[in-house]
Amino acid sequence: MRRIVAVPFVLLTLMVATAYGAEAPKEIQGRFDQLSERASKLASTKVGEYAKDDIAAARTSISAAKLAQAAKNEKLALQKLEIAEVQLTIAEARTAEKEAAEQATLKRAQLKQQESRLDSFFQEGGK
Amino acid sequence: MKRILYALSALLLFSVSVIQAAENDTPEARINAAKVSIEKATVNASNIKSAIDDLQQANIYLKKAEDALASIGFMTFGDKKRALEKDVAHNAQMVGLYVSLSGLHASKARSDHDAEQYDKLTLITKKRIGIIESCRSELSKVKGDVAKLGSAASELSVLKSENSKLSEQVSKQNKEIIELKDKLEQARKAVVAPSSPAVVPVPVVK
Repeated sequence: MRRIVAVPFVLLTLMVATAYGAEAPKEIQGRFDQLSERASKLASTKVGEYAKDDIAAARTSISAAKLAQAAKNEKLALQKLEIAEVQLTIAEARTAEKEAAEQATLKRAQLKQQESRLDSFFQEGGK
Repeated sequence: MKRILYALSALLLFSVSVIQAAENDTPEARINAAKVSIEKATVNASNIKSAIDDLQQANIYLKKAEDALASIGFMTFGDKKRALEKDVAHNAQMVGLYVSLSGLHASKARSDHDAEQYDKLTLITKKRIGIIESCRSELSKVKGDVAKLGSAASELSVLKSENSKLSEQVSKQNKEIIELKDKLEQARKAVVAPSSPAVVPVPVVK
């Protein structure tokens, strides 16, 4: 009787273990795909122009994660993916920062233009 | 002999740089560098929420790095030690990344703030220019009116002078008319006086 109970139990344990083992790489694969897609999308926008190096760094991290995954080093793969994720966020932030700096420069130039117009009025006096 | 000395000095310098690099590469050095970068970034972040949030993340990773370092004891050897050191390195790298992110967010927030201020000042300057332009337009209108008044005044002056001349002429002509009337009166009187005896009827003799 004990043997009859033990056999399905062992089989069930094996099935759960296999499922769990297959789930982890699936999750990592999902993150690979998600991050690769995000990197590609960003590269095709302004981010690809303003934060080229950050995107390249993120892609290097994704590649390193793939290598680690191939070497069955899931921990390292997850760490590399974690780094890639932040690198892509940095790429977006750098682009936003550069755009904001450009806007500020533009607004400053507009202000200077108006100020010089005002100055010219004062210099002309009541003419 | 000199060559040997040069070779030895080069070797010495190389060893020193290798030792220094190794010292900078230790888990402790990484954690110290991470701490210093967070401190600097905290000053830079000031009151910018997104930058502060990034630094909170950086602090979480710093804690993880410190925990990993604390796990490396005297009795930790081999793969376990290497794995913990790698954890420290990874978490220190994450600190660096979040510090960079914080800097970018802080910088963006400052640029946004600057742009907003420039916009406000531009609006104020434009309003001032508008006021000056409207004053100028009013002034130009008034100047035009004054110029019109000036020309009207000069026309009036000409008319006055013409009027005065005409008045003179009229008074002169009036005088002449009076003189002529007098003369006419005298002439009439002169004509009337000799003809009066002729009017007296001559008596008829029968």
